[in-house]
Amino acid sequence: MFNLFLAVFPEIFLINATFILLIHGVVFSTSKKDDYPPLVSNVGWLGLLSVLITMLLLAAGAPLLTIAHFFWNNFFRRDNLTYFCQILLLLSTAGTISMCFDFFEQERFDAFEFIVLILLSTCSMLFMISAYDLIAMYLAIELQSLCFYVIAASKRESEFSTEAGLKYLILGAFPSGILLFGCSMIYGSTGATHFDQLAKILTGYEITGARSSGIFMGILSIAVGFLFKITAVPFHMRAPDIYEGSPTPVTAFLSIAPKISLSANMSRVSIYGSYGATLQQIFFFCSIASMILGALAAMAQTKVKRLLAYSSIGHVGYICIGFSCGTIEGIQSLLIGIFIYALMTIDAFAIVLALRQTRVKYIADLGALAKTNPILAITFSITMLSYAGIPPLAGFCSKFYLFFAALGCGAYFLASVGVVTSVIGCYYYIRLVKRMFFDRPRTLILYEPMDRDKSLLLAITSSFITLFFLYPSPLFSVTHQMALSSYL
Amino acid sequence: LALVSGLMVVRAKNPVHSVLFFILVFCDTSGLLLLLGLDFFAMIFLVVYIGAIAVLFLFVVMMFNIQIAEIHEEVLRYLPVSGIIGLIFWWEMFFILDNETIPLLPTHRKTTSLRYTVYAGKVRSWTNLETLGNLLYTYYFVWFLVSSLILLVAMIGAIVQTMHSTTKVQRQDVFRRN
Repeated sequence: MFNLFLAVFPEIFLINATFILLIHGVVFSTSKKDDYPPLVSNVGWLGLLSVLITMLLLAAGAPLLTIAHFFWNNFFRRDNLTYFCQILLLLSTAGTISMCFDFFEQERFDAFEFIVLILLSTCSMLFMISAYDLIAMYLAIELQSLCFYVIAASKRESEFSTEAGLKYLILGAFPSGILLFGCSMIYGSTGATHFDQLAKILTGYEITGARSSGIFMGILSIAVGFLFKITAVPFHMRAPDIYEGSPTPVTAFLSIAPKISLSANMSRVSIYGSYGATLQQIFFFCSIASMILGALAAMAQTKVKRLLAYSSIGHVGYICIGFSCGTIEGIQSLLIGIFIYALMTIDAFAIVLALRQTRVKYIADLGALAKTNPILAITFSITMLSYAGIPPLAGFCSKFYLFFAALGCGAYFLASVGVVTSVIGCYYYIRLVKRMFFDRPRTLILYEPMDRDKSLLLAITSSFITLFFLYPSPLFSVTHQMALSSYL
Repeated sequence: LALVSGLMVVRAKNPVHSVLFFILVFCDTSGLLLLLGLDFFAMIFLVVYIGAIAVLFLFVVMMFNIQIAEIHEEVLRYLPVSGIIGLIFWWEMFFILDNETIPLLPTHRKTTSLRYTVYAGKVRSWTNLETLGNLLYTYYFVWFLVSSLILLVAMIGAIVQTMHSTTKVQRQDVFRRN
């Protein structure tokens, strides 16, 4: 039976690393002999290392994936979809942790539990991606959300952060309840929570007349809960406040990691578990509303983090287009969109973190960035233009493929709304670029150069964004494989 | 009795009274479950709900000075919106319960690893619920471990939020208010 545990070795390693780091942090930061050292950077680097080792374990353990039949009832790691999604998740987590170190030094942020909680939430997201049962999915979502509630409120001097944590708690606990309600309705109506069993039970859902409304309510509630958690539009109510109030690395995590894992999980639920058209209408509506709101509401923003929050809401709308069409191209475009979105968001938040020294919160502070720090300005404008979907950059490829998939399954209205809102969204992205290059603020703000990790991260991501169009086929074939495996 | 107690939770003027009615609601519900024949489930209800959640409410009520506010005149103002939401909820519940037979299996709660005890308890009437729960820890242990991780996160979270002021941390800057 030992080789069955080897299949979950990455997660076991990550959990053990978390525990060891926690104990290490607790023991050493309260020891009077060492004069109570603040251990954040120490634990942070070790946490980063453990995330990278987990990724290596995952990548190297690929042949073991098919052995794990014992875990079929709890979770089953597919060959491709979970594999690549987990690697993406671990990569983005490693990226965001490496962004945090400078933040820790500047803000004198001494809570090493921050890193421990991030590691725990990463582990739960790994579990969530490979979850194959409603209960496992709910547990993993709950674990991840709990970790995020705590770290969103972790900067205790500013009441902004506490308010953001409280809002996130309410915004997150309520959809967890709705999710659980949906899971229990489905269980009550079908007697099965495992996705395999659900797939068999729900195959004849649309065709036969035996539509049980309990199942309908259950699936609807699960979809609603999920949409809450990725802050899609009718349910996004407090998301900009949360994004703005939390400390910036937390915002970076919030906008990247749950979206990856929840999208992977939800695609598994909705495509494999319940292949019915009931989810399609709500995803249609939500994606249209998200795109429209993301484009329109971001025009009135004056703060950078809120702008990024609204742009991520808009981008979630685009990604939901990939959900709404239940075809393979839909899932493939969804995965491409998420991959590129993760990279762009890491880029954007690395820039925002780099500019944090002088407390840049408002867009006006970005003025004349081109004169003081031209390379940073160029990178920022590349990221913003990629968000907007300007052709040679990666964002255009992802949006193009999303609209292509939507057209391919007949959702013409969706694609046209997407194009229109994309054009509207260009306005405020380009306004940022203009503000950086052509405006002259009253006082020229001087920025310190950023540290090595962030510069490395920015270099990697922005070069990916610019050069993606030259050689997009590895990503396309990888995501095609991933999408295929969720249909088998 | 459970319905009346539930109503009284919201309407009681004294907050201590509403917490006591809260506890009464849970006692009544666990009694109902006992009558349904789910002995383990009723005990879990008592332990989890009353033992933890109601005690939490009691602590909150006791620690904060909640003024006894006369809110009678404002109740009617809130009534339309809450009435609409309540009506929607009732309509959906009715819609669901009307269209199918009410399932015999209870909805599962947070202690998920022991859910299958109840299910099997219906099928094989000779086993006690508890021994079956012990057996099935081998099949669903992963969920149990994840639940324990959740509780660990709760503990860490509470400590992160509140313990900073007591652990002394040396800094280069002296000015730091906890």
